[in-house]
Amino acid sequence: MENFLTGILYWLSNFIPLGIFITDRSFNIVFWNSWMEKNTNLKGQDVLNRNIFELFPELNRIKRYYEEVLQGNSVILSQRFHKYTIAIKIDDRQFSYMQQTTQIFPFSINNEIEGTITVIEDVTERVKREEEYKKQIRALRTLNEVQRSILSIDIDKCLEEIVVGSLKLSGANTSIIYLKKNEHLELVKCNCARKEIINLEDKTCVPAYALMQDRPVYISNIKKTEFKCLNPNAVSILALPLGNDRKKLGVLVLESVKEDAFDKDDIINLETLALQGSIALENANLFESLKESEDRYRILTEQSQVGVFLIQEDKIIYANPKLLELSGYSLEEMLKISDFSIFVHEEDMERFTKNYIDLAQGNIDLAREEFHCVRKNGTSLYLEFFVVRTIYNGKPALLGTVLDITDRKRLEEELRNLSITDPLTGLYNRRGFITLAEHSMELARRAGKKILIMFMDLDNMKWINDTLGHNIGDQALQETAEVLRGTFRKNDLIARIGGDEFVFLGLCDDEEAKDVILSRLNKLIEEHNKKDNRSFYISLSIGHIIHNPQEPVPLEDLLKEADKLMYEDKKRKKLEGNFKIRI
Amino acid sequence: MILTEKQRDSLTELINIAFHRTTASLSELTGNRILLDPPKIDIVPIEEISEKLGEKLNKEIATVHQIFTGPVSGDALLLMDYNGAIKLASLVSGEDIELDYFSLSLREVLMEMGNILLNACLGVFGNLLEMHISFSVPKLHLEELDSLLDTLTIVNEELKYALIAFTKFRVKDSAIDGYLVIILGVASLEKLIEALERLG
Repeated sequence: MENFLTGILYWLSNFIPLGIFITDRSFNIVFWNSWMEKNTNLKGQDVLNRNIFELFPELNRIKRYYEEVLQGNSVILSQRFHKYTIAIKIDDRQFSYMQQTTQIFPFSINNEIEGTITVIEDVTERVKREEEYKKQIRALRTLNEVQRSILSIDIDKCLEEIVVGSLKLSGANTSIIYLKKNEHLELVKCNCARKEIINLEDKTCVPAYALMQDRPVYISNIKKTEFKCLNPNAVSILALPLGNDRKKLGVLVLESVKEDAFDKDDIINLETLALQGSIALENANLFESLKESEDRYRILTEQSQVGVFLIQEDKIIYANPKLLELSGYSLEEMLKISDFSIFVHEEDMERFTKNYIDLAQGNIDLAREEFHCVRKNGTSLYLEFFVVRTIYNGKPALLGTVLDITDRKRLEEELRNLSITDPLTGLYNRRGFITLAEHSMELARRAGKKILIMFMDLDNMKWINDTLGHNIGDQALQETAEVLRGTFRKNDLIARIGGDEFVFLGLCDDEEAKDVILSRLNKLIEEHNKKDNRSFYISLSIGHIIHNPQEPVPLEDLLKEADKLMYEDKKRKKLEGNFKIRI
Repeated sequence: MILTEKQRDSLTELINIAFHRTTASLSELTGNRILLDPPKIDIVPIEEISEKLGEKLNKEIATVHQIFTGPVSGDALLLMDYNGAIKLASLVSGEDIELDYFSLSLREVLMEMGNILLNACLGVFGNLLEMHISFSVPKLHLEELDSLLDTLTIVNEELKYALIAFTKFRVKDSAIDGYLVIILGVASLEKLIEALERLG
């Protein structure tokens, strides 16, 4: 026993990646581990018997918590509300001090409270990761909003969206759009009241320089450069050209009063926004020019980054080069096509046909829809269509624009992945399971196969968590997931649908298949448990049912049934004393 | 019926006092005005708890759990819907985007809030029973209601009762359902009722 305790103490003192210090009832330090030494630069011998509130004045703001702890309370201080407990300066762009989550609890010996124990966890990296993830979601949402407005035919609304979007993405103080007019750049939109005209040849001016270079230009502190800025408060300046290879439209400029205000991710997001904005502006110009002559309209559409088509009497009578590029057909082929369903993927066919008929018959005047489409070579892409009824040469026609949103869809897919899988084990979570299970059942019904559902519960999860700690608990779940992955086939569904509950759903031919799977699972678990250095055994209680999808039963009921059988298995094991959990 | 009308009133009032204390601490901590609706109190044998809680909670729940020990010992829990818990933690910590998963930071926020609420309520009992109660560090469980209840009922050495207080957290135009549950052995419950009698 003594050796065991000495071992633990040695580990707490030297190796645990947490700051631990213990005080007596007068808050004088009696234990100080090496994490504390390393991070505070204070050696144990220098702090022993010193009062924590004198040694660390910042602790006075949470003194009342310490007093509560002497009364028997345990407290947790989250990073979100307290930032840190002990001020430890760190070299980091975002945080001046190490971010900490802290637990303080009584130091009891024989039920007498002898002092306090403080455990500090460094959560800086984790908080940064979480912020990063949120920033990505925010950026994606903003980019999506701008993209939605791209097919707007109102130039002013378009400019407004770009300004608002760029401010949201970057946190800049000012966002300005200059458009090219003759030999000048003219300020056309800004989130403040400014009027400016810049000479295109003026190399000392960041916007003109960026347009000349035809690339984004970032100046982290303009005061240290030869550049000049009309806004005396601006320190960081980022200028992003608007337009495409063939035509320069203008410049989007972001100014911040802070030095080095934009990081790499900001710039990438803003570049995407500038690209989307360019397409939007071009598109808006296109519609403006519709009011003008047809020649001008044709020239613009030829150059557009947006696919444009005109349909009359169920024939395509015009398609611009971008549309041809997107679809993979030549203009000749395109003009011969009379069945537009060849462009559309089977899954969206019904919706597409309904929309087309409604438009063609004049039930609706405009439509804006996303469709899963197919290129001539069979590859798929996602397109957003914006189609209006119009008159061409005196007869009704449909004028449409098409935007490639495949990248956006892919990003959305990635985000969806985040929420149908369980981050800990990489298996599907409950939502993922339910979504995909319906699909599998339909598949089994069509293939005339049966379905095997197994409900599995990791035995003694509570014991593992309570005795070995949550980290080991997480490890047990991950190891179980690994074993399950090894047991089942790639096309089977495996999910973690609750704390320690796993479920399997797969197609099978008969009862025997079930026995094969079960014995394989048991074999793998046994092998796993034989590995060296294990502090616990993996053991699963299992309930399984075989379901014939020809006689449909709601999935929830099937799960309930399997769950019930699992509990019976668990109960039986307990009765038999067959719970093998600890080493 | 385990409590008389009068005992229930006294108990409601006591927990309400703890709630007031809690809302003050939480508002100060988070910088947001947080209110707790007056509690609806019930005491039921532990076998009936599932039915009782199932009324307002979905299957997936988030629970802040503290074990208390001393002359009276048991489990103190704050139970919420998984999604409700994310929403509450996001609101009080001023998240500007709605997430559909529980980040570790938000889990800690919920733990700290639960900690403050449970400490305040148990503090009231401690005073009432004139005894000294110690609390463990809070843990957060994310699981299904049934499996949580299983872990609480599994060791059934003595008859157990659950004191359930239903409330709503009100933050920024939103109301989020929450249950405060304190599980006591029959002996502790008797002491509690006796003390309530003395109060009346």
